[in-house]
Amino acid sequence: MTSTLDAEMATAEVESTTACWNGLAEASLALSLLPPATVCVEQDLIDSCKRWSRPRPVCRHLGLVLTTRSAYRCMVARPFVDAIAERIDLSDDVRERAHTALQEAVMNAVLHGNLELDSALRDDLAGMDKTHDTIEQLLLKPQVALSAIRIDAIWNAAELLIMVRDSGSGFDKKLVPASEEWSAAGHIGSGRGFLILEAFCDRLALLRGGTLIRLGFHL
Amino acid sequence: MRFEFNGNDANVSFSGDLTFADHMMFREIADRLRASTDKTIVIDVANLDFIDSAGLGMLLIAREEARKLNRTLVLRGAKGQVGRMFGLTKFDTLFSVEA
Repeated sequence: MTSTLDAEMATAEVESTTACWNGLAEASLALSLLPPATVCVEQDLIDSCKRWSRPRPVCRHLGLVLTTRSAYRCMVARPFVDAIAERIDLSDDVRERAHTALQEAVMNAVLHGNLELDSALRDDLAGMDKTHDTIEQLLLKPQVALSAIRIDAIWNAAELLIMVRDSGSGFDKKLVPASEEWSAAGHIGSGRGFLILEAFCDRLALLRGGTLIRLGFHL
Repeated sequence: MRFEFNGNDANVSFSGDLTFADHMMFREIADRLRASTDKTIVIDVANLDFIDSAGLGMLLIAREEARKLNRTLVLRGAKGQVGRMFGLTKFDTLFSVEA
């Protein structure tokens, strides 16, 4: 479904104030996202961020381009949602739901998008250890560590949309377990993140073969 | 996330955020909980502000570890976003959940 906000975004003027983030910590990210920044790019991606560029609204937009390495090591969802709240009034409910859903979408972009890992591997202590060892090994490869994730937020008086885009090859939505399947008592495996996304967003879309997740919240 | 054991290895309090990034800390906690001899293990989450799906997964792993040792895992004091996540994922059917 296309909303008014989607249409506004498509026809908006290009204008942005770009800030740079060192990729090291939540605190420095929060500072980099302070107004008047409209786009924040991690230092290691400055040279390559042009291919991620697209027209953005003059205002009502906030973007963040970061590496997989930083998205894995720094919790970026809270400072990003806090930065949106610096620009518009968010109720406590929307703020909590947006923070929770964005955290899931970013981790999905890291784990299943850019690192192409299977969450079923984390079903026990040994699997959890192995997964994190695998991630550290993958992050030693520059082409993996520096692969980009882009987060964009646009809003108007009625709606907030947050888009999370990864650099992976996408996935088949049919392979995501249904809510009722996950909810079966005692089940640990994958699908928990999507259950949360569906519950915490007012609308949710998986686009571009699963490489783009759009989270929608009524304001 | 921060944690503090309350007098013995079967009673621990969490505070802050429990997310994917906390796996090393969770591993340390799980090892201590497994080493305890108490029949009931209590994880107090009253001061936990935020949990993600990976954090929920860690609690489910802790439950499985407790079950293997014939122990009961109790989650105590969930509120706010943490309580909302527990409700969504029906944790009350999987754990002993106390207010």
